[in-house]
Amino acid sequence: MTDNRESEQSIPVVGIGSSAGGLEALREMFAAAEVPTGLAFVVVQHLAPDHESMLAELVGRHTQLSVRQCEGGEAIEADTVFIIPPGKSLSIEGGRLGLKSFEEPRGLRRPIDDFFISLANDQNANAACVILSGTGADGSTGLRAIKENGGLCVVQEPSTAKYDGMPVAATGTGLVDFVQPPEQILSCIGGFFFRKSQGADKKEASKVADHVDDLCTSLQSVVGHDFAGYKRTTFVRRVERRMHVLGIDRGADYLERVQNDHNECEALFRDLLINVTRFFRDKPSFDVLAEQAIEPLLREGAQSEDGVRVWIPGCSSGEEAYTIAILFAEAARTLNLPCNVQIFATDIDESMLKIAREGSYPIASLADIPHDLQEHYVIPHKERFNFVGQIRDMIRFSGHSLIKDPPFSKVDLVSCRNLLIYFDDKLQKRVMPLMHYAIRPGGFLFLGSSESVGRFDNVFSVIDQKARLFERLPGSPTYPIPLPGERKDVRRPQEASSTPASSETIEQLATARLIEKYVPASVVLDNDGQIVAAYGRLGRFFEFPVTGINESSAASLARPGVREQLGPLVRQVASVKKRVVARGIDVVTDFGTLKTDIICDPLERNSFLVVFQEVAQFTQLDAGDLIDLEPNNGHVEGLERELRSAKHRLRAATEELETANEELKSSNEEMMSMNEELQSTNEELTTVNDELKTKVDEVTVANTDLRNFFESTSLAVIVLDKDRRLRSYTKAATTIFPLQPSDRGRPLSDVASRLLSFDLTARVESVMEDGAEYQDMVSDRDSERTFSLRILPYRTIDGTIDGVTIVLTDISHAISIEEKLAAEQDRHELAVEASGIGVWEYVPSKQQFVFGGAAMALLQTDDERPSLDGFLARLSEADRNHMRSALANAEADGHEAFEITTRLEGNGRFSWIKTFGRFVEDSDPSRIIGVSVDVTAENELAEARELMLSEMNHRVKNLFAMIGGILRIAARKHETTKALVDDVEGRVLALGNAHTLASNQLRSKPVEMHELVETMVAPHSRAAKIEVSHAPFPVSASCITPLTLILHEWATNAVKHGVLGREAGSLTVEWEKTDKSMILIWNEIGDSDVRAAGDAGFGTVLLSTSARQLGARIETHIDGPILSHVLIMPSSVRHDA
Amino acid sequence: MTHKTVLLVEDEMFVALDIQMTLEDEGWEVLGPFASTHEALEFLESNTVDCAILDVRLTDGEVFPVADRLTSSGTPFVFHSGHANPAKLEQDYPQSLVCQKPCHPTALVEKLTGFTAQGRAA
Repeated sequence: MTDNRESEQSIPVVGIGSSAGGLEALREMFAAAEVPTGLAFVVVQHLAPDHESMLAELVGRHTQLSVRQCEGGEAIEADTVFIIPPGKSLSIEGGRLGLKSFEEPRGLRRPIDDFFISLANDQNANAACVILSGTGADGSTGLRAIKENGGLCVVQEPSTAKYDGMPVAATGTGLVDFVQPPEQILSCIGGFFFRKSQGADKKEASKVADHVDDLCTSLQSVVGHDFAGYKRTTFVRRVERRMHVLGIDRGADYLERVQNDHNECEALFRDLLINVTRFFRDKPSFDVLAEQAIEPLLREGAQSEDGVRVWIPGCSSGEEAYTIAILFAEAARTLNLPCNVQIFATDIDESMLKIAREGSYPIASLADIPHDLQEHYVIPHKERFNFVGQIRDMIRFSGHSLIKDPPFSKVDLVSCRNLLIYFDDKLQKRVMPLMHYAIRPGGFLFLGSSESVGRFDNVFSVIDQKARLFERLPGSPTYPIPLPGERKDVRRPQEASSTPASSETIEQLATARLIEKYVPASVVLDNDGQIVAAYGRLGRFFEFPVTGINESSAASLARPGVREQLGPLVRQVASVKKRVVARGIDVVTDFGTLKTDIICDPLERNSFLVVFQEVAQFTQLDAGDLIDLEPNNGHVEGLERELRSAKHRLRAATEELETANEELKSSNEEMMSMNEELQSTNEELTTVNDELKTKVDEVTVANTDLRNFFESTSLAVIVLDKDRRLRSYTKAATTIFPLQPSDRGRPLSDVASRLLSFDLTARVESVMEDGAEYQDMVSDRDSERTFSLRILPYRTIDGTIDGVTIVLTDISHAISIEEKLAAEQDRHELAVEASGIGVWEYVPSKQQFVFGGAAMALLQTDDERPSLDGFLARLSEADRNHMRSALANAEADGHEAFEITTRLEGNGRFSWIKTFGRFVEDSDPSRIIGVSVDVTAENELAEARELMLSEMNHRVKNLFAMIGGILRIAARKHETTKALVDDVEGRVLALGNAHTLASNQLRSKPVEMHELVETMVAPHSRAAKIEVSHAPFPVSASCITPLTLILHEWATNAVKHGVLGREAGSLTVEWEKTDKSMILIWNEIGDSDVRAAGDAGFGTVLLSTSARQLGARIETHIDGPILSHVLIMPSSVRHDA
Repeated sequence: MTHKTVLLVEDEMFVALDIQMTLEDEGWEVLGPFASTHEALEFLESNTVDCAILDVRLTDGEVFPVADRLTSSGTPFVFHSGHANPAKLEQDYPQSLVCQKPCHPTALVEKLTGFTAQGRAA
């Protein structure tokens, strides 16, 4: 800590930060300077680095102070303004200014902060800072440093600043002592340091020290915090600062003020709490912390569920907390460990906590955070930045007093930097056990660079002395922890402030009455001799009633006598700063002279109290005096008047010059600022231009793409704007609409279309109204082509409908294919229908059939989509399994087609269905497709043929057996083979003929009797007249052979012996049907008597056997020339019997 | 030597006549021929035979009732058929013999002689 005395003797240094609009403010501020100020000024103005600065010149014209541009290395001097040169960073060390080049890139520079910080470190309480007009927040950080070191902070009243960014940011820190318009700033600072030096002279410090305990009591009662344990010297210094700010000289007065004024109490509280904090303050220490404490803690924390607990008491505006949070997050990221960390950041100052919770810091502070960490954890904005959610979520900010409130416990790390330095030994000894209690064994304590654990080195072991990192040794605290318990009643400030009001009023009344009635005539003059205040009856000393402050010159108003004395008096008093009296002055009034003592007493702030004390009676003026006095007095008076008028003229001339100069300067400045603005505008324009150029390039490419698309696409696209005017179209559109390039911009309705009677305009209207897409098919006017027409709303990016897009696609080809397909389909269906083929498909996965064609009729079902079981149920029981396995095999075999004939029972008759099927794998789902045909007719025919074949077979066999029998029987009757053959041959031939007749393939009806008879008699028909009845007599097939043998026998006999041979005559064969029998009558009518055939030869055996075969009998009658054979057969001989 | 009696059931009269004549030449007494099952059964109502020759298909159906009757009375017989399945017949009537039609009547006679020889032996 700096010794107070040392700083008091040196010249206070005022650092002034300004930026945009700063020139005006600087001029106003320095114009008000009154030499000697006893102060040194350093102006840090944001300057363009490449231009020579005229600032020193511009400012110097307006002020009595000497103004110089800094060249580096010079010692500060009183009443001198040092101005920063362009492109350099300014610092102060040992009262000497230093220049160096900027390390940061343009934009991240903050020369004001840099200088203020170096100023604060170099000059401590002897420093003051002023922040004037400017944008951004440069200076806010430096201001804190100034304040922490006991310096003074003054900010330009934001409403008077051209740009209020910097003043507002500075005010926002809550650390500013004065907010003033520029012209008031210097007097404000001057007054502060004046009081400060006065106070030091009068040993006011010790007086303040007497009141420390009372002040602490007041503070505790109002704000609730006990500062009794704070380091006494710091406390006193801060209190003195407040007193200087307020212009209070006596400690007791200040105590009274604090006790009665809640606001002042708050202000003192805030001043007491000021400490410098920034991100990564003392970075090497934080590096040690990260390596020695944070990484081990994370590794441990990864294995426990609780995570890492960190406590940061006295976190102020949160920089330290965020720094530690970032270090944890970064360590977790690089070690790839979970970042389960809770940081409790506490402070007693709610306004600081509010800043901390917001977590939004001026961009200038960004430079404190290492670059690689910025990338991960910082979100920069335009003028401020904040932290990523991960960091913010780690930290809890809460109001908590290390001294007053119970401590946290089981904490892994306590970071308590630069807090203990404010505590006195007693309080430090109370706090260290608290820390020991709060930190778990093996946990860490991290202190500020000038702090130590003191005598508690038995419970905290040093890990790194330089970084002030300690480890809490194991063992529970054995000493009593003085947990803060008793609290004094908090007296609310409202109670205190109400009572003294009435007594003050009385006092004021009394004072007013005294001044009005009893005080000797007196005036207060300022440095310029202007009347600031007036008391008592002044009429005798001044030429017209002085009503108060009318800023008139006292000398010009004073009556002769007084007039001459006032100037010298004031000047003398100003130089000696003691009371001076001018005795026995004759004041000449209108009515006489008055002997008066004039006492001039210097007041504060360069004002002077002039008191007129009448020492003798008023002397009447007589006429003779007028003549004598006039020349004497007139001479001096004339000279003085001349002097005054010369002075006045001089002043007027100076003022004029100054005004002209000022105007020139301001013009110049305006031009400079305009130039700057133009430059920045130019830069901006260049950027915008570049951006536009890129955009134009992009648009050009997009446009080219679009044009190529429009030229090449076969889609006919027409775009209309919101007035239904043609905006663009593709080349393909010209084949439908007779569009010319000149048609662009014409309404669509003007463009004739080949589209057949289609009201395009109306459709466009409706699409634009309801925004719904329209779709239709339209034909070309010559009906050769068909188009698919789509009208879509043309939407802009914000979704409003700004026209329509008409898209026409030629679908003629598709339509013709579709038509062909439909025709093909029809033909196919017709064929299926005509053929009576049933078509079906079966999906094995669903076990379901779909029937088509005549399938439903064939299977005699109404179900178009039967299940497998429903389908099988239609088949005869025997065939069901066949069909089932055929279907299963078809699916298993894949490509093997199957063919199966199944029977169907229904409607009382059998039908046969032949089914072909094939598995189709390609389809989805895979299915079996097949056809079914009714093959009942074919099957029945085949069966009939088979039946007939076996019948024929039987008949032929029988025939052979019979012929064999006949041969053997004949053989018995004939002696010679020749006779046998002759006899048998004719009969076998006859049987053959009959067989031919009966077995004719073309025959559909049974053999008629007349056919049989005609066949037998045909070889002989030329010989005789033969009449054969044609009455219907269908002969049963089994009877043909015996009938043939009988008829052949009769015919042979007739040839040998009767009418068919030598004899002439006629043969009649007829038949009739009776109840039970058929009677065939063979009538031969010859021309001679018939001889009876006597022998019972082979012929007779044949006849009788044949008759027996038929179940018939033969009667033969001979009546003269008539021979009748009557064959009486059972009616079963008839086929239709 | 007593005449052996044989029942002839045959609807084809020429075949029947041939067989009859052949059998009679050999000294058999032929009973029949019967063209129908009905007639044969009627005859067997009141007569017995030593053996029989049976055509299968007759005017009134198949001859099996007659065959059954003969089987039950232990009379041996020969099927003389043009169409029936000989294996099936032999299976149904194990004591019978089968002659495929057409066959020479002497083959039938030989079979019948076999029966009587057997019967004698038995």
